[in-house]
Amino acid sequence: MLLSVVDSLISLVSYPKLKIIAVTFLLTYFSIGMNNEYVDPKIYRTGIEWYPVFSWDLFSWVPNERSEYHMEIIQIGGITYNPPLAFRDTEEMFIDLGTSPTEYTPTIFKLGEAIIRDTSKIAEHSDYLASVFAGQRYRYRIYAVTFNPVDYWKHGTYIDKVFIGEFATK
Amino acid sequence: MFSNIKKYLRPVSLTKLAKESDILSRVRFCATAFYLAAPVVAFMFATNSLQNKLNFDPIWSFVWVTNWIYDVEDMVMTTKVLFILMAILAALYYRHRSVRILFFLALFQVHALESSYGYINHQWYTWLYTAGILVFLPDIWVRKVSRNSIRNSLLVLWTAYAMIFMTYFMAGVNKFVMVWLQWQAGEVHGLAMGAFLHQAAWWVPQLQQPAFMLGLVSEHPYWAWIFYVGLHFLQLFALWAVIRTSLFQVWIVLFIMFHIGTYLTMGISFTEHLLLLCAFGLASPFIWKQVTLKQQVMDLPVVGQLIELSVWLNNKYLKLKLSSFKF
Repeated sequence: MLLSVVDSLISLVSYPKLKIIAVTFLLTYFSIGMNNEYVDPKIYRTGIEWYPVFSWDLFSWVPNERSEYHMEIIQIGGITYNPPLAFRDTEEMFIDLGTSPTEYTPTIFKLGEAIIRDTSKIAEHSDYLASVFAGQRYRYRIYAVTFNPVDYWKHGTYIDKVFIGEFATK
Repeated sequence: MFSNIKKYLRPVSLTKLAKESDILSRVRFCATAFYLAAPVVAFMFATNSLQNKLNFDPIWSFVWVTNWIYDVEDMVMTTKVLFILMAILAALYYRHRSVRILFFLALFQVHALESSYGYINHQWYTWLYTAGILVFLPDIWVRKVSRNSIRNSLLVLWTAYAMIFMTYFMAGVNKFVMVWLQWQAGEVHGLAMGAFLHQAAWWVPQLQQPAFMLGLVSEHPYWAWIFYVGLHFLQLFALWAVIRTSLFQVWIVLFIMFHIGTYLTMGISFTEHLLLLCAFGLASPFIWKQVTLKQQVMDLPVVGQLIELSVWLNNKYLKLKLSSFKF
């Protein structure tokens, strides 16, 4: 059925019409893709994506001074970290687990938002983070931070850093 | 109006290209290159560790699988095995449309699975679109192929390339929109000095991947600025290179270099997409065999138009002898 439809399209439709179909397809994709981003300023940059069409808005926003939430680990299993271990330095711990720390970054952000704005969601996000180190007991702190990305990359320094919560897995 | 637009754009003539003596073998080679690369990406996909991830949340196109297979690890393994089988099948029998459809469907499911962990995987998109468009290739593997079939197959390939290049074009448009918004907000924007260092310095700690050349970006901000601004324009004018195909090869090579550069400076790898550019991109029948530098300069966006304008002004008013710039 599908094969015969495709065959008919190719053999029966004239070349000029095929050209119109090709260009219309490209224009439609472009319109839907860009529409994701610009149709409503309220949804701008919220990650809305009409799968399988994408806006290709990749790395267009240049990070300036920004505020977000960071995690610092105090203890994993029997090891205590003093000074605490920044989550950005935990890559090696994830190699054996076959996952990546970046998968948990959005949840750290959501947990920070929950602490500040909606405490009913704290349990949901902290439970998810409990699975990070494959069941090992660990203790961590969440900070609301403001930083310049270049200074943070070079020196690990913050403009502002406020402790907002400490959690321990069971 | 359309004829005026066409006259201005001067797009590649597929009718003329279809008359070239070796075009059929070039079209066949291009399709072969794509489907031979398929098993390579299938094995690359098989080596990932999706089964270890915890946040499985199927998107709409993968939900149906969860009704048949309940264990996530089994789902991942089944998808991997089926994809490898389909990719090998496609590499061997891509001449049959039914096999191309099966490969596209397998890819659609692989992409859906990859995208079922909280965010959509973007680098598989170009593979998905290309495989979907190549389903429409006419049967060009018979003994006698008509000119019409060759022309239609060129159109199908052109659409596939235009789709890949349009992804860059859309990225370019988004970049310039964001430049405007950030410039209005008084922030460091994409065309500002140091923008690339801001970009890389934010992503590298996030991704925690080795970025071997980020130090160079920090030490040589002027060079980084030139490359980053150049990237903005490279992406913005990507579609131009599938219209004026004398630039096609240049753009493909620059895209490949851009992805290698992104890996070295930010640790972000687009491996599967890079393989697509290397195999399918460089095997394109739209790469001119005898392109001159003059032709490429004249076809460059903005630069070419400025030269054309200055020649026109000269012919109309100054009347200086510029014999090498006749149109």
